[in-house]
Amino acid sequence: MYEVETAAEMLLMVGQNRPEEARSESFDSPSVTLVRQVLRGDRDSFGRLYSLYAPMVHGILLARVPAVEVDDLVQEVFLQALRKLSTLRDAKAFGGWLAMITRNRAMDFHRRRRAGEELTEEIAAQPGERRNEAVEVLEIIRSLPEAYRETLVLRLVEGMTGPEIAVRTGLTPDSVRVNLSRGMKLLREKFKEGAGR
Amino acid sequence: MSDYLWDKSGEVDPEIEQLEELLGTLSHKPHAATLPDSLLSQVGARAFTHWSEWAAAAVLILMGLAGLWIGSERLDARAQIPSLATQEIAVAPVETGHISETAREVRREAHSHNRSNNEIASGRPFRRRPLFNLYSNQNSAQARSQTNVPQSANQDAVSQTPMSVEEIAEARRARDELILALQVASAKLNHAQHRAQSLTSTNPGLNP
Repeated sequence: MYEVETAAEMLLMVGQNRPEEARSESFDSPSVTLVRQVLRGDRDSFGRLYSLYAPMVHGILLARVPAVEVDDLVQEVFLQALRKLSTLRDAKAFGGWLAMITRNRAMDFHRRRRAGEELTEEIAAQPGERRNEAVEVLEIIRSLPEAYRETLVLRLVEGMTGPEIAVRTGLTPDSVRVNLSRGMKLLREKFKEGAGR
Repeated sequence: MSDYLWDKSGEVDPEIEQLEELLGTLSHKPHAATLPDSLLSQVGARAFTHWSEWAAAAVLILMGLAGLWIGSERLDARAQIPSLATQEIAVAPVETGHISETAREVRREAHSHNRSNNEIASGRPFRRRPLFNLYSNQNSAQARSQTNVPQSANQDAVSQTPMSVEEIAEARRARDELILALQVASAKLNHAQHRAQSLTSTNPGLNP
């Protein structure tokens, strides 16, 4: 039974990079216009694009790298995206494209850290008891499979709705729905495991 | 799955709401949603890249035009060489048993002029030989000729009738004028040659 579920999850994860299936005009059309305006050198449009997509980039990074590093990496991701924006063929695919850049940047962060510096103790660096508690919960979410943790962070940390996650990240709404549902189920199980110890 | 987890609609799930409140402390802060100046400047720089591309193209076009202009100047310099080289050179009579250093220079210049002229007339391209090679050839030619020249010069001097003082003075003046004219021509030739060499060194592809 578990194997069947895993296979189904894999299929959903494979289908996650199909932005054309995730179209929802209510979210999509402003981004397309903004991307085109940014390509013409409009600063204000890039500011609005940043405001729209910064939570998504922040959430994707938060699901993968320490919270203290995220803000700097968000800037780096947008800088990289801006440099490569002219290579984006379809402005409609901006969300999925940016999400991919963000995931690659997170992987690159881990590669560099493995090669050099020691991992800083994230919880110690965060002031405030409630924030520490939040980081602990985040660590549990990070222990989930990648597809689940990213979607859960976007939903629970960044406060995005399922349809919004689908449009911003380029995932299909079905994938987001399944990821949220199964991710939440696994998270509850983890909480129970933690409470049972 | 509850609708609340999907789109925050329907009945609120207390556990999810609690998690939202707790994890919301780690969310992207609204103040950070404004674009940093560092990124804004990049947008401006990106827009500028279009202009910089045009500027680069303009510079390339200007460089091409400059190359054409330099090439035409080089052709003009080449055109000057035959006109200078076709000037007839009259060699002054040589004093008995004596070939002065100046006369040697005159002969050398005449030799090089005739050589260049022949090259142009035959349609062959200019060959840029190293100077030492040219001088070594000239020296060897002079070494060969020096053994013969005094004899023939002496024979010519013997056969010539003696010149008066006025004639000698006039001949010397004529010789000085000729030397001056040849020096001017030589200077012009050197100048043309230097320009041609500098063009060749800056762009060897121009030299056939």
